[in-house]
Amino acid sequence: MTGSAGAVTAEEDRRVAFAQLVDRDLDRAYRLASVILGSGPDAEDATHDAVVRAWRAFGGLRDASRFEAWFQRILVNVCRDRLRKVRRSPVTELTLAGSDAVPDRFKDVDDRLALDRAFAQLSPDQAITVVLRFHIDLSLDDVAERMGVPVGTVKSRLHSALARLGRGLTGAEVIE
Amino acid sequence: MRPDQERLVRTWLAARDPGDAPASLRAAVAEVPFDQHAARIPLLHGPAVRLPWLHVSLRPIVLAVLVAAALLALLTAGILVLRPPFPPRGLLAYTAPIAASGSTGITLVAADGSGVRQVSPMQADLYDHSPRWSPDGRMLLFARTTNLDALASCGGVGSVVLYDVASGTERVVATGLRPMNDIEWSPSGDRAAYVYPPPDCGAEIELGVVDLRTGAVTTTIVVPQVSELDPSPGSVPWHVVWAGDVASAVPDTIVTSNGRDFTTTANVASHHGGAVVRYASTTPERMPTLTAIEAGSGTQTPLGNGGLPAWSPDDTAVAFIQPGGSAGPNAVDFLRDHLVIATAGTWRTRVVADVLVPNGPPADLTPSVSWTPDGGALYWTDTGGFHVIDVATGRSADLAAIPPFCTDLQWQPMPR
Repeated sequence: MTGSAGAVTAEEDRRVAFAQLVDRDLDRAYRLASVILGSGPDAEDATHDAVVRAWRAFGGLRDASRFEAWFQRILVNVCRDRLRKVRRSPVTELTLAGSDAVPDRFKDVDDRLALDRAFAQLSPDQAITVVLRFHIDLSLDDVAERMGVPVGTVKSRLHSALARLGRGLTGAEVIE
Repeated sequence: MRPDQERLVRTWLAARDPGDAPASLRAAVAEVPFDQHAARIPLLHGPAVRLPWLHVSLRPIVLAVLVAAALLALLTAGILVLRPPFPPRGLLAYTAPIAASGSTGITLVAADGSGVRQVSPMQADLYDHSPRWSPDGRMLLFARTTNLDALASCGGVGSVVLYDVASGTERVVATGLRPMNDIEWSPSGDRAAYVYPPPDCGAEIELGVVDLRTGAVTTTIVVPQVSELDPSPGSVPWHVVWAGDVASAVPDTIVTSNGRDFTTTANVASHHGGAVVRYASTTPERMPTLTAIEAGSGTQTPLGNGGLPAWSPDDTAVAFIQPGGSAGPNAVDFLRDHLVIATAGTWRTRVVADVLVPNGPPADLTPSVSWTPDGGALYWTDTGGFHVIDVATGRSADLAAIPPFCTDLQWQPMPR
């Protein structure tokens, strides 16, 4: 009887601990998912999915101080899956009428559109690598850890992603 | 990409950041742990053992079988008496975060999970790491960093510490040093060598040799060879290698690039320099490969795909985990990998046991294994915890006392 009550208490403690950890890291997770996916509703769904997956695997996490990195890794995997599904669907790219003929005076708009287009052409892994490295400023080792790949893979993805984004921006500058 | 373009990318990414999570999401996720059930903890499977079925019909045959069984039982009893115990005896030392102080420290635990002992003081801003057993298993050597600068990974004060396991007392052999990344005993046991800088620092590399009796320290600046330089931003950590009485600093991995792909290479040398097993992982998304290279002839033998290999203490074999495939419908969260041993010289491989490793989050990397000092077992940690497998039988055990995120796990040689 006592053992059973103890087990229930431990399980309850674990639920509360998990809820507290998620509450602490939720804003950062949601913002990361938003930057990766570029859509608020998608980011909400992805964050929720990641929390469900994290709870299912929470039994394997014994060091709570590693929670944020561990949870980020799960979130990144969820976002990657979502990006893969989205990019398998056909997408019609919208263009501004007359933009080829009339140079746009607003350079920043050109840059933003160019980056929108170039980012959409990155593979899911490249896009996530760019966000982890340049938005939340993780070290290469930490990016590798979050994505579960060797550091060399991270460098390769960054190299090709930045080249593609750079080409996209150069194209925008031609308009100017 | 030019710096101004990189700034543009950062600005563009920042513009996609919507701010804090909406209240609806916060409310939804708060319910998750109270609606769902947590998954089970990963398990290990060894090879199945089946008893033969014997049909008894004729007296002479029964008699012959009984005699054979008796001989077999005698033989088995002899093997059991001579065979090392499993799990092997001895203490395990490891580095893990200390919740009470916010630092990292070293813990000892017996191989049967009993007698957990905290070696490091419970003190904030004191980080102990890299525990290394003396050859006789009586002393533990480790590196300590204090006065850590939270804003600079190069900062802090390094010390070399010796811990007497029997008395439970420590002696700071040398202090006022640069913070270390790795420290190792000399083969003679009278000195230790360490290498600076710690990870992510990127400063010039310093190799220090400490006389463990007097505390005298000699330092040398190490100039990397061109082949050891990283072709892209980020620095690879370095570690200490002793060859006879001479210490040297060696990069953990070498990264090369052909302008498009990056290859991460690690040469894992046998203790006596007879051969090297080369681990190479080339992007994009290719499985790491292992190649055995004989030191004398340079003969290369491919060993297939695998994680980082480990040489047996007597240099007669190399162990590694070979990626497998799906673990089947009853274990969808796991991959069924193979624990493989390759015999040095012939490089024939044999599977010791199938192992289930977590698939996908939170870990999908092939684990790297270590040998126990007696060469009788192999061990590793993953997100499911600590696992040990008997080389002769494939029998496995898990040690729940060791946290899955510990590092520097070191098995004690049995004191003589």
